[in-house]
Amino acid sequence: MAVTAESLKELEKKQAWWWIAEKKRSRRLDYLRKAVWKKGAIGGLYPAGLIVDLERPVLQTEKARELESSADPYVIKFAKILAHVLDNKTIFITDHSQLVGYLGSTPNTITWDPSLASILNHEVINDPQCLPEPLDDSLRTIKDIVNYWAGKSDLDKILPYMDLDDSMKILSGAIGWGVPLARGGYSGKDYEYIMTGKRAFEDIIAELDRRIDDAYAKAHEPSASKEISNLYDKINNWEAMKITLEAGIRYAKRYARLARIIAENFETDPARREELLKIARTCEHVPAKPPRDLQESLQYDLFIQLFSRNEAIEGAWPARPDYYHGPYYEKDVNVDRVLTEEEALDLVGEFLIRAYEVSQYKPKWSREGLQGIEGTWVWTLGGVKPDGSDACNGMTIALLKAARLVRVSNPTFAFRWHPKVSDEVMRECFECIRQGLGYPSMRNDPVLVANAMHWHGHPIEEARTWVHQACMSPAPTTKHGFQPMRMANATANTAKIIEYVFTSGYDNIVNMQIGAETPPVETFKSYEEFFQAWVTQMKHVFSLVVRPVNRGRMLAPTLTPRPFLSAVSERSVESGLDVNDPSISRGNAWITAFTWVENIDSLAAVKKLVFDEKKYTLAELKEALANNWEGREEMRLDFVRNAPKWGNDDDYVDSIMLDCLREAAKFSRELKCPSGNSWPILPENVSGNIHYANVVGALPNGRRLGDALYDGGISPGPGLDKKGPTAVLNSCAKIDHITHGRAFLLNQRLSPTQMAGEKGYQLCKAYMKTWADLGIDHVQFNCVSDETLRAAQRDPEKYPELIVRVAGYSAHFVDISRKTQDNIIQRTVQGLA
Amino acid sequence: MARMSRDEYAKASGVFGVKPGAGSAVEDLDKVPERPCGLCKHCLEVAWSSDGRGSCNVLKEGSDITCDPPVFVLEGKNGYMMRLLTDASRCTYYERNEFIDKDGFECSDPVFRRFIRQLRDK
Ligand code: SF4
Repeated sequence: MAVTAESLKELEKKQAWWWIAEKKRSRRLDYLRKAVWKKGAIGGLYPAGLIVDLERPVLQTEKARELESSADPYVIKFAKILAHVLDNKTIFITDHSQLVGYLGSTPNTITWDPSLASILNHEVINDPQCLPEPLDDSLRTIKDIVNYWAGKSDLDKILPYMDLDDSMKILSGAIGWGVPLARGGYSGKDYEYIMTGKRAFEDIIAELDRRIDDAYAKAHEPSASKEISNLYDKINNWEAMKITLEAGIRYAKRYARLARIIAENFETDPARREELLKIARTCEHVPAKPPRDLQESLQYDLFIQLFSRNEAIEGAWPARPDYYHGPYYEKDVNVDRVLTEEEALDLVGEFLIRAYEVSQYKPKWSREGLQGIEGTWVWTLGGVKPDGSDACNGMTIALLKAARLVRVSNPTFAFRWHPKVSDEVMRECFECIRQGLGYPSMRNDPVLVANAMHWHGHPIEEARTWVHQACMSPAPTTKHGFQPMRMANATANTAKIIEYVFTSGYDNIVNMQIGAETPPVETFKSYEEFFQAWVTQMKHVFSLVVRPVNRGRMLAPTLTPRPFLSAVSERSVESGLDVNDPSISRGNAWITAFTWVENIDSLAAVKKLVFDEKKYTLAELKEALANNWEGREEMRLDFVRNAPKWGNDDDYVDSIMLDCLREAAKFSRELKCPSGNSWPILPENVSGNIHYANVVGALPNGRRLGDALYDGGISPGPGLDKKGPTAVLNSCAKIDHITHGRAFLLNQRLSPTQMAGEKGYQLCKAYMKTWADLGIDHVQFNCVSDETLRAAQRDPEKYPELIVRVAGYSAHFVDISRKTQDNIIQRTVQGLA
Repeated sequence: MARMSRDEYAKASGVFGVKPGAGSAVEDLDKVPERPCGLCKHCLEVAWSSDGRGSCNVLKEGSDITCDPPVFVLEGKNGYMMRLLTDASRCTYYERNEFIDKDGFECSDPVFRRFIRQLRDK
């Protein structure tokens, strides 16, 4: 169908943005978008058609077996295994693509790293959906691999050194998720070292050689000391780093060769032949040498991300693509004019698609908790430069435009808003929100820079480089400021805190004493006593999730090193220490607090109905909760309807939020990471509100076991914010977004009709001004009507690219479970005045 | 929680995975008994992973349904940890569960156990 202005207008009226994108994007982007396999789990299962890639685990296992008798230290063996995978894995180039590289051997594969955790390996055996046919052959191979790594995987290696009680409680899955592993979480990167164009792999190799030579000479001087003893470990680390960088260069050169072979022997289209030769030239140049143009810069970045994901399972993708690729964009598009804006958009759009397809086999908690996506690829845009000036550039706009054309749900963007952002850029952000992408989420840059300085003592110039390490948490990209691994284990299912007050810490769902043994709830005589029990449980739960991470960080450098990530980190190249060594990190830890607001509404309900009005006793309430409110529906409704709820600008309940946050913030200072820094909390949810629905018992806010939990870190309960958007903002503004925690997730739904046209932009702008003036650090929007969402539930095949904001990330609506879909529809649509 | 020895702990939780050299242990992962715990109403799969571990909502730590005669402990702080493929033929508390979600795509469903490939057709 020809694209006419009329047909586009018609579609715009219907808010059929996904069809508009299809018509507006170039033929190349359209092909690449349609050719990509979506990898995010639907509900908790990987979609049909995807298969677990057995090539990599076979390569890994064969090399590990071969090296068993080698005299190499572990870190070098590990680097050699990684190099073996990169040297031998199947590579391919997708038609029409200009960027190359994928984790698996074919585009529909999910890669599996069997060296990480036996528990994960058993999940692969149990997977009902993705094992390659013929099943018997696959199972034979899988069992051989699983058996080899049993007892040798990272988790098997570190667990004997962990606290047994803590491990058992965590692995129940009730209290938190994640593992305290250096190769399973969210890797920050030292982008200031590796992405500024000052150096690339060959420069680092030369530097490593120099350091190895110097250390070797020093180690053989007529002397002996602890420092000299340590040099041997450093030399091993440097050697291992070098092995991984050299393997990376060889891997890129394999692509160069393949592109040349296709161009010179098979490609008949002269234009495509030239593109293939450009790919060859690009991969001959990067990552060995610093990039010279936009294509090389994007390719270089992609290679680094892929190597890092060959080394570890990464659940996030911290990035600041406009800041680091922006100079190349400006040069190619505006200075040298070797690329038109459209050609640059093709590259940028494809970069998003290449990120979207990355996939690694993950455990249940991750598949369920991050429904519809592979991980939280929340890329950071906007913000300021280290000197405080506006960092937005042409690439910022190109990324926002490309996102609307390719409409992938991963990566998504978060925009660092500050007062100097131009109207042009704000309009682009608004267009993305209005067109229902659910992103960018808006982050209040001045507040978050101050927050990074407050909690972790980052100097202002470093704090200003911050990127999202996962969905929400800022982390600098500097030598000492970046956090090499956010171990997702420090994630607490905090609704358990209030639940445990009623059960004296016993978890009736998983049959375990997990919380603190506080006195029986019916013995509390005052709200203050009751609240103190909450504080005790809070401290207990937070300590429980933090201790294993601290321990994991201490064990990581020796038991589970990361030579590649070390090789692209200045502090490791300089010191010879593994990147996870806490002594060379400033620390940027945080506790993700899932299901936080349930605590506030529950405490308010107890205060009002039990202590103020004395309508019920704690004993009665305890019994009702133990029986999941059965036979007490009237009482339950009283707790739902007649207790004040967070998000309505009501001081009664809002002051309880502040009490809870103040207690948590105070305790955050007592909890120390191995670098000696604090553990602030960060209330947010991803889709943990659904994952934990059956793991959290009945609560005093009227919730029953199995009901979806609230969706945001400080979002009001769905449908419970009855007083409009200003009241929500006013409640949220009572929180001190610098000192009460690391960040606070706020979901809002806006009416798409209201957002139409210039009037919509002005309304949104006014809302944003209020939000910024109130000092709130985060807000994200869903701007899709109930009607469209319900229609998509009825006819999912008609809405393949409809995107919604789930929590700290976006997902295609058709890729999330029915329960999550319903939860999003239930959220109150806020009309802006 | 009472302090367990590392061996008891490993047995109870299965956290260390399959031990090297114990070749048959991997094979065991594919043996589906006529009456596995995974089909019982009282079985709760752990929320963390779908590697086949679970806990019992009736029996407590110290129970062992695999020995003859079986040991049933009904009092105690912690639930009995077992595998979804543990043979429950000797467990007198076994009650077959009704499965609603047949395809396993619904997240956080109590019958999430559908993820165990071997139970799919049972
Ligand atoms: S079969 Fe017995 S041990 Fe297994 S879950 Fe049922 S009651 Fe518990």
